[in-house]
Amino acid sequence: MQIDAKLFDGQSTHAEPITVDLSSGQGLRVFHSAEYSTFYEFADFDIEERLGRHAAILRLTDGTRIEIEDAAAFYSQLPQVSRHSNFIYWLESRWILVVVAFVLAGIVVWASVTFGIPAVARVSAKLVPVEADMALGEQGLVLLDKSVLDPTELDSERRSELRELFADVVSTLGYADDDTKYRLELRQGTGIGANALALPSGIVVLTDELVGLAVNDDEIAAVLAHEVGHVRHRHTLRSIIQNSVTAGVIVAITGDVSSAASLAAGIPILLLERSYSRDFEREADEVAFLYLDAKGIEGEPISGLLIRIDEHYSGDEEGIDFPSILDTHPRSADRRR
Amino acid sequence: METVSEANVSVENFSFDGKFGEYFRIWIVNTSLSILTLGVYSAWATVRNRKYLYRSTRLAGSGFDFHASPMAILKGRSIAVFIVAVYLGISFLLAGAEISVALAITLCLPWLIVRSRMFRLWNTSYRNIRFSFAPVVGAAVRVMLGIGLLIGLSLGLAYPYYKYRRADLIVSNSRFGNLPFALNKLTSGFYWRYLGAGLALIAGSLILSSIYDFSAISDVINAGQDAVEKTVMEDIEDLPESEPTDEDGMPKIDSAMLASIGGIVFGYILIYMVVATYLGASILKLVLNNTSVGKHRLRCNWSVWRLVCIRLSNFVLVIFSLGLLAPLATIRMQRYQLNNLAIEVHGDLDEIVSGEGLQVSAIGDELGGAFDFDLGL
Repeated sequence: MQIDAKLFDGQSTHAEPITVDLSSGQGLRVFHSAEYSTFYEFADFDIEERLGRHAAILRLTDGTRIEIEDAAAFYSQLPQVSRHSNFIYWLESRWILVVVAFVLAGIVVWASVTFGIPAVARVSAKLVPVEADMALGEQGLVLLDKSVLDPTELDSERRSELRELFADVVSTLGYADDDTKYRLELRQGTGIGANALALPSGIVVLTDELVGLAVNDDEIAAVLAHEVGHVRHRHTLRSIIQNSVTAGVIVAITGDVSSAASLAAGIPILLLERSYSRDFEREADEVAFLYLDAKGIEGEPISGLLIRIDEHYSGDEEGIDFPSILDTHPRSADRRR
Repeated sequence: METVSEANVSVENFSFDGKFGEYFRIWIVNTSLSILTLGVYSAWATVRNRKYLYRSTRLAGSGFDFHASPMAILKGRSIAVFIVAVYLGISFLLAGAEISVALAITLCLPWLIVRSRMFRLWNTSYRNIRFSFAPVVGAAVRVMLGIGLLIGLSLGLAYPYYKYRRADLIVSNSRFGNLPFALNKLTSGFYWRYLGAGLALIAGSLILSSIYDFSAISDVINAGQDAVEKTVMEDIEDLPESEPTDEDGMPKIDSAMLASIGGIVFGYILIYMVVATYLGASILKLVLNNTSVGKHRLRCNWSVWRLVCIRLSNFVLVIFSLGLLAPLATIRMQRYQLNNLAIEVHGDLDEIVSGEGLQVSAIGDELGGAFDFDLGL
């Protein structure tokens, strides 16, 4: 059977109407006219991978291109042996396989997001020297001092008490010999209220307001232990690595899609970031509990403090309730357990 | 003479016959394979998706085609990913150094744009004749850095002129076979469109500020600053976001204020998006309508408003499907743009002969993509 086709010689845009015949089983006979034909063995031409309902496309070694509009007729005549692997076409043409591929991909995404990326961050954070954290932490503190922090107004006696408490927390946890030098910075939290922050270089910032809200030093010690946990586990570095890896993977996969799609891809990144930082909070909480156990402190002093911070700031007005997945920190209620 | 030449003129319409169901299957299978191979297959996916779109673009009974080798794209993409990683590493370790790296990349922009165009066009064909782009790095440096500098000196007034020269650079150095592309002089056309967009932005802001209490805007700015500051902190203990301390007399944000801030922010984003989309589409239409390929002239019959509607609804579509309907967005856009594009053929489309071209690596194209540079018009 002869199938209509068009031949483009690669020299001009002229389309030469031809017919092709595969019935010999040895190759392709191209009829330029009823009298004039040429024969190509299967080795002499490439068949491009089939794509949708588009024309079958053959490329001869001299650069000639043959387009066969009736691809179905062409492929049905093609002898089995010379059929190129059309695996992708086969996948693409069956909805059930499309669904299977999609589900498999979903599982891989889920697994790499839950286990893969955090593991990569943990391992590669170990490869980054501790010195790299220094610059980040010192700069962070300078920035905070300029924007939301003011010098502490605690008296010098209280200040040295808190420093001793901090040193005790570090040594109780057995972190005193770490490469990271832990350091307590006392500040007035003008812009951030009762708060404690951990900066990557080992700096822990404690605000006067938080000291004021604590009823005893056990509460403060628990908070400090929590922050030391953040430093110890290098959460800043790990979150930077995790976010970059996530973004990189998404770019690699969706590399080709429009900017609207990459914006849509930003939403899962945001949600992941939040959920990763909740994992970090849990890890830091574990360090806090380690300290409390070592000291034999009963109950959960952090809980009491959190309740007071909550009450202090929500006051009698209704607080704005964000959906919990958007909350970086586990809700206080969550953490109180 | 006039009648003779008119007898030779015919209009050929472009058309796009891609189907959503078909493209969706191709896209999802290839995206899934990219994920399953941890990104390695993405180069093959790119080629396959693009082949489908190009082959669905028809003119005078023939389709276009895309020929890039997936290996070339994979190499380019790997190098691009490596450079981005180095960039991130440098900006993380040496604060301030990212500015010089960004500057270095900006200086490379002319080279990137030329290489990207060369790669894209040489790998595009119609009726087995390739497109090509001249290796005009020198001209690109003059336009992008020379006139780019002028933008700063003229406080932005030279920007529309710069955009026109950039469009001219891209169009005039393209060829199809032996036919050169050409672009008419469009300086005033660019200026009028930018002026219109500027006025529309101002009008939109005025309307918006008459709806919402203006004082809330300063709060928006404060909230923005807070948000920026918060990102530098590692840890803020259980303080609900954007709730300032009540001790130093800063206003507490209640839900009504939040709603009005939300309204203003949303309003600005919407106005900006509509104006930017309208401007982009009208500029593209202007450029296409003034482009000729040899003696043949393009005719672009788009309604710019229709295009804005399609783009904005695509945006919503993609966001709310978390990217899953991106192929539908692509198909809708291509269908409208190509079905309303035609070429005025003077003589015969059959007689165009092949020209010279250069196969280049995909690095320029991929690097531009990795840094999200707009390498188009």
